[in-house]
Amino acid sequence: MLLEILEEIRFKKMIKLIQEGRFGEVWAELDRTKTPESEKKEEQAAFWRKVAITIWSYSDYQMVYYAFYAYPLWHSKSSEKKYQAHFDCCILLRNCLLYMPYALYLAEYHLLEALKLNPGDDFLEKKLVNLRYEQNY
Amino acid sequence: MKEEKFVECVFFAEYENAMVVAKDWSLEKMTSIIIAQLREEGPAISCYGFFVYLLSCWPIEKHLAIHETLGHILSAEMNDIMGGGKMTAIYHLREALALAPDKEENKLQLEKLLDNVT
Repeated sequence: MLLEILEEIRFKKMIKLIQEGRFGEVWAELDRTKTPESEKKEEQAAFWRKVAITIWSYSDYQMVYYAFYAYPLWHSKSSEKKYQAHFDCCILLRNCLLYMPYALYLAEYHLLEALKLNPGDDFLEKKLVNLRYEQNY
Repeated sequence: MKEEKFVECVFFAEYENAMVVAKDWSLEKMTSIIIAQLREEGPAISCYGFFVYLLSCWPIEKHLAIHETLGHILSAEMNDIMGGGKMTAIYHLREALALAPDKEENKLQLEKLLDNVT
């Protein structure tokens, strides 16, 4: 119970930092080296899900969240992080920012960039087909 | 004609094609064309995506100019067109200040924005 409360406080603190445009501090927190690689991925995935929910409650901040997820594209040299950033931006645009005009085209751009970094990925190829189908409707 | 092709590529997030058309254009020229089209056509998140694309592929020496441009247009012209612009402008101004801590105009603009949103 105490751990859950502490986790909630930590999450709220990170959301506040994102809303204040202090992305580097949040990414540093998420990338903490003391967390094992496998747990780090799970932790980031959990964080992402919570952010997605939060976005719906704070409509004034939606562009900020897009910028937050894109941040590693110009701050990281790691192609794995860039791949993840393109993928996250695509999911964010497709799932949370779809009502924004031209969001699907921007989602497609990020998906194509992710594919360049991981050519032949079946999962991404299927997502691309679905996105292009949605663009036509 | 070139300008029309450029904005079409930007709006549809075909950024590499946009840069082929805009070869040798300055950042100011590209920005003013995009802003004019946003005013005419209405919001398009892909226009902000274009600047994200520039940040991801231009060398770091050019990042200051991009962050300053975004700090300005997101808090002014683009904020009228796209919601949430001011908060995103704050982030880009913070980045501009990290790259050039002594630039007073950026400090002042950030302070002004922070006063407006808090």
